[in-house]
Amino acid sequence: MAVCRKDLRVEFRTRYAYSALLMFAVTVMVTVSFTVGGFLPDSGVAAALLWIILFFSAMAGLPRIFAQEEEKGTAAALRMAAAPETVLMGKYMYNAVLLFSLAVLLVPLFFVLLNQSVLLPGLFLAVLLLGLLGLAAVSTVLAAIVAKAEAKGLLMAVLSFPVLLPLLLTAVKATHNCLAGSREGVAASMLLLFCYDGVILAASFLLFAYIWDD
Amino acid sequence: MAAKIILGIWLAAVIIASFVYMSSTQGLGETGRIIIYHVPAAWIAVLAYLMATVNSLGYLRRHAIRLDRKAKVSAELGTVFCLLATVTGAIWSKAAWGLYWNWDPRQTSIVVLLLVYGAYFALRSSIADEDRRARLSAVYAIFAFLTVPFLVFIVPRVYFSLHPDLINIKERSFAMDRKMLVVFFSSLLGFTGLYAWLYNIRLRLEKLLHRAETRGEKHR
Amino acid sequence: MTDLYFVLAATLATWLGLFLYILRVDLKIREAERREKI
Repeated sequence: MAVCRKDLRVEFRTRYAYSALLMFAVTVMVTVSFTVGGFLPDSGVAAALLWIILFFSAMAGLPRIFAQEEEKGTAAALRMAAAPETVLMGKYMYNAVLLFSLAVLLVPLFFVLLNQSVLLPGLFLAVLLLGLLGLAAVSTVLAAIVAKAEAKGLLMAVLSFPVLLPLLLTAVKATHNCLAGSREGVAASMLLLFCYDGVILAASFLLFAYIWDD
Repeated sequence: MAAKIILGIWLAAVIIASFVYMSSTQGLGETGRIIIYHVPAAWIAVLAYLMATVNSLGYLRRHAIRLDRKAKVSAELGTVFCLLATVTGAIWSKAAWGLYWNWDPRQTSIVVLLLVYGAYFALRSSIADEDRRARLSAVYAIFAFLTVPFLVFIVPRVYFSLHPDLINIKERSFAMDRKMLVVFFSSLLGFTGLYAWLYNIRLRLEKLLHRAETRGEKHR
Repeated sequence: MTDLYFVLAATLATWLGLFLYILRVDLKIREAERREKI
């Protein structure tokens, strides 16, 4: 918890990571809208686009979370101060908060630019929530791995995609249904996302020590 | 040694049988013969990944670099067989249905496995330190492995609903007659044998290289 | 029909070539291992 608070405080001061993340996401969103918008994408395509944008934004914006520590040399201090699990939890919460704040700004933009309407808003938000939690979880763990390697940016996306595929596929399908107004399969999708998030978090906790301790 | 010769002859026999002994598959004609190669290759690709994951778990528990070596070797071979499976799948798809790619659940799954393998090696090649490389790639292998079961449930449903007009290709829906079953299982056995042999060779090579490296360092 | 035999021949040839190659690698490694022991 304290780790998360510390990161949030640092972040709030400079807002560097968040603004970079936001700018990236907005840029991609705008690019997509300009290029695809004219074709009046249907809810299915739009749902896919939303999650693609979220995915790449996470890839671009989140790895810094661990790289920062390595760069600034605070990593050693952090290792001594807190148990690995605490560090993981803190970083995860931070990433989740980051993604949620991003979504708050990005989703309305999505509706406006791509001319979408959502017929099942409650479910849509629920799916979004579960999906983002999973996205944050995977990003956190893989960011930790990537921090110890070279070529961070590219590696992040390459590693994340296969692991995130179940989440992306399910989220897109469920989001599509929510936008279009059909309840079909949404409950099952949410259950799946919930289980997926659980599995990822559990595995992260069990394996994080191996990543973190040098 | 004799075993290897037998393996060679065995698979040669399988190849011949798949064209001559076996009659053409019902429903898919001559192109269906490729199943004899395509499915075992995919099966081995998965088996190899399973081995890699188990060895990764072992490495994390016991910190023995030889287990990391085993994981890496299985993954390498797995990638090769996976490529083979993907390519034969695409060839078959083209020959039988006119498209190289059709988002059939199985075709998608095999590509995901290929992506996992690719990611695994991308990760490995970006870490210089041996122990760190072993540790991190082991963690990744396990993570990727955990997400696979989800795909088994998701992919058939998602892609079917996304492409409702897709020709629903059920590879196992056509029955394999007696002859084909025989050839198929023989092929499976042969492929497994081939994998075991290649694994053995590759592992020995790795060990030799590793020993040569460490010796070179000692002499410095 | 002859198309089929062509594919058969090609596949068989590929396999035999591959097999002999792998065998050669195997023997070379065995040689290297023997040298190690000495």
